[in-house]
Amino acid sequence: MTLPPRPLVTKPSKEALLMLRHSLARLAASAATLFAVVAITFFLMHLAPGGPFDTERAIDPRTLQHLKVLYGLDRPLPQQFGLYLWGLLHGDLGPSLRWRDFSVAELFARALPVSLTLGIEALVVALIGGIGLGLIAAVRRHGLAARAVGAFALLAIAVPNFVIAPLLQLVFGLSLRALPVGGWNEGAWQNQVLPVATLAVPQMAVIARLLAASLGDVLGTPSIRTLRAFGLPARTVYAHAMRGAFLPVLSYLGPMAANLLTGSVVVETVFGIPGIGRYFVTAALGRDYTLVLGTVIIVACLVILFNLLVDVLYGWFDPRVRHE
Amino acid sequence: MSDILLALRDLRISFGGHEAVKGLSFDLARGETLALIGESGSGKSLAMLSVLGLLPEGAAATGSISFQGAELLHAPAKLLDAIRGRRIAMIFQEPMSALDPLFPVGRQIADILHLRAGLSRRAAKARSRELIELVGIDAPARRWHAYPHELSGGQCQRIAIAMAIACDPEILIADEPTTALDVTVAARILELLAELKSRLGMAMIFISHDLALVGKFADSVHVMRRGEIVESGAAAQILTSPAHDYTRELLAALPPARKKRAAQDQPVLLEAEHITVTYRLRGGLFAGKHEIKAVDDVSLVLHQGRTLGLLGESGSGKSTLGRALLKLVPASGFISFEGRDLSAFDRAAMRPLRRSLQLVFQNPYGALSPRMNVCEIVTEGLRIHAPHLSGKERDARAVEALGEVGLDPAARFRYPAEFSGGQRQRIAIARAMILKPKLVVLDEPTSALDRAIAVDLLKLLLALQAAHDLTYVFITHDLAIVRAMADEIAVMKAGRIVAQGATETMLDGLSCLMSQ
Repeated sequence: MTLPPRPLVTKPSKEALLMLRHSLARLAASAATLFAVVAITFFLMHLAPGGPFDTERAIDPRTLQHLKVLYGLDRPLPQQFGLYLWGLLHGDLGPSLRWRDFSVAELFARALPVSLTLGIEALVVALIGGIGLGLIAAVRRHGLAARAVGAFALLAIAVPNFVIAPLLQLVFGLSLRALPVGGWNEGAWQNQVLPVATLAVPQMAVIARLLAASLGDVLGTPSIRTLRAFGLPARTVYAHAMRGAFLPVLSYLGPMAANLLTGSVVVETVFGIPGIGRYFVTAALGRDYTLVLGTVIIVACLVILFNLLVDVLYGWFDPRVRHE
Repeated sequence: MSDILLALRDLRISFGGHEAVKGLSFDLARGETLALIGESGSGKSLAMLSVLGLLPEGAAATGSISFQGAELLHAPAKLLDAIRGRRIAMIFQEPMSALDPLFPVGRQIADILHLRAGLSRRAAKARSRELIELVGIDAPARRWHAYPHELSGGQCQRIAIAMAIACDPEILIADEPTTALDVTVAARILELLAELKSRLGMAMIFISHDLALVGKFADSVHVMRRGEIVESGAAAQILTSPAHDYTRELLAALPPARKKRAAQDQPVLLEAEHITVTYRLRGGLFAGKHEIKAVDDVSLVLHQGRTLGLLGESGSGKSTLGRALLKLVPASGFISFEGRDLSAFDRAAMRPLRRSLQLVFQNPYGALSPRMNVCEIVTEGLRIHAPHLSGKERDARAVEALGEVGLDPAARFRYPAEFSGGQRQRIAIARAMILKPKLVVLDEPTSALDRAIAVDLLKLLLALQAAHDLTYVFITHDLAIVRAMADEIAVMKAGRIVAQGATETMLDGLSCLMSQ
């Protein structure tokens, strides 16, 4: 007697299919969002007065015309938009209009890794620190530690980063001479400590507060009381509570991660870091259409990506979302 | 006596200055079923939470709770954890929220078996399937993977019971386990508990507000009021010859079943045909539209002076239908009132008719504005529908209406917060009656009230109906109430009327359904 052959591919479970559908629906919505962002930015930028070649001294009109033809700025706006989209679909972000001889992609290739490095580090620090502090504040709800966490969080959220950054420079850079006050130095770790701290501390505080509040709520719910009534060990009770309490933190994490990864204008300026945040301001002021669009697209992509990630995680965390 | 499992002595629980439990004492013997009866707020649930050391923050308890000689009150967490779930287990009132929404229900049972009964993961999973089957859920292997929101309230309570009996406890504390469930489901849960109790030989403490219900299977009954036991004794004795007035109130009988009255001689007041109410759920850009038919193609006729009982489980669309009949929710279909077609009436055209069409809500706490005094609440409708009345005349009408519903008119300048639930419901009824309505939709007007108060309110409604030839639509999930109130019954399920007819003939059929 021979056994029937085992199927090579096992049938995906109902849960997996639901997850997939949930994700695909989000993906489709994301593409539409991205298109809208590109279109609005494109036309807004061109609506703003001035152009990329305006300088203090008037340029010779013939040269200006020549430049415009070169960059395609003489064509009607819808045609420019179409051409830009066409390039975009082929992964071409176009040439920078102000940083001549550089394409937008080339500028990003240098600046993006810097911002991403700082952002990821800040994200990790904020998450670990925030979850730790939040747990302390929730578990020892009426203790001294909880109050200390609360005070720190309030301070960290209230003081803006353009104050935190110079303070850190003053203390660790000038007084203690422990760390460099600025510069990138090819990414030496000493140069990263202060900017990462400046980026991470306020987010850490927000996460701690969010988590402490929602953990406090969840610990008071009937389902946690049930676990206690069955004498389950504290470890299990907190594991259950954490899973429920993390949901509000998760929804905050999406925009927060996108924010951190795309570089902060203030932090990059104060610490003199060649990241993407600085380009954005100079490009916007100088009407560097392609560079602005490129930056917006990157930011939008990251925001969408992280919100997508959060949605998928949400579905994984919470079966009720998955089954909607 | 070594037979005593649990002994409470002078248990007192207080919050700040308020004492919620004032000296509670009783013994629970092995295998005994003890019923702790009282209205909400009588302290019965708190007392039982304190047995397992689950009192909410800020509660202080004194006295003694002794479980087989071990003192549980203020016992170290280690001792409590050894007893919780393994020797004393508890199930709660709201089965949906008592389970963790983020984990499959089978996993939640298996966790207890693994962590508390010491079974291996594999054995725990197998045993949890058996338990799911034992508590009467079919397809246990499939249900094991279900999340609480995928199960009905009754099924969730069965899962909670499975968790409770997982470690074979000596005592099972059930805190109003059927209150949040529909009647038919509740009856089956009670059967299950009684059956498990006799099979496993547990002692049981049953907390409830419904004396008549638990009296049937409890051995002893303790009646609590405002934190104190007012009467205790054998169940049979308390049910048949209650000594305390309060116990008698709890046993207050419903008005007798409605006498048969012919419908033919009464004119048709309202006629509804093909009523459909559709709710559109908001979806994402590409998520597709979701439509839910809360009421699905319902037709009915209301005769003047008669009562239609609208029966159904929660979510069956009975409240929505009640509102649709009054044109308070957008609905498709045809409605005629006193021979006039209302379908085309817009809000403004409906306004003069509104005084004839009144609604009394389920929750008397939410239905009255806390910032208006009773007189303002009751006369608000008059300001719109009878603007010619002077302030004095309005006040006179308010006095009359409050007197009619059995409230002291002198209290009309007080605010709703100063009244009990039953009194508030009377205020809500006075607010409807002052307009001399013809049709009143009563949406579970007694389900938030304690029994004795509910019975009085039902009697009042019957008297008002007789005095003013009112037509009622009485929405409820309680068969006993429908028997007392309704001439006709319509049973709703998933938005449709699945059965309709005269009360007597319908109830015979329904009790068959229930006992299945």
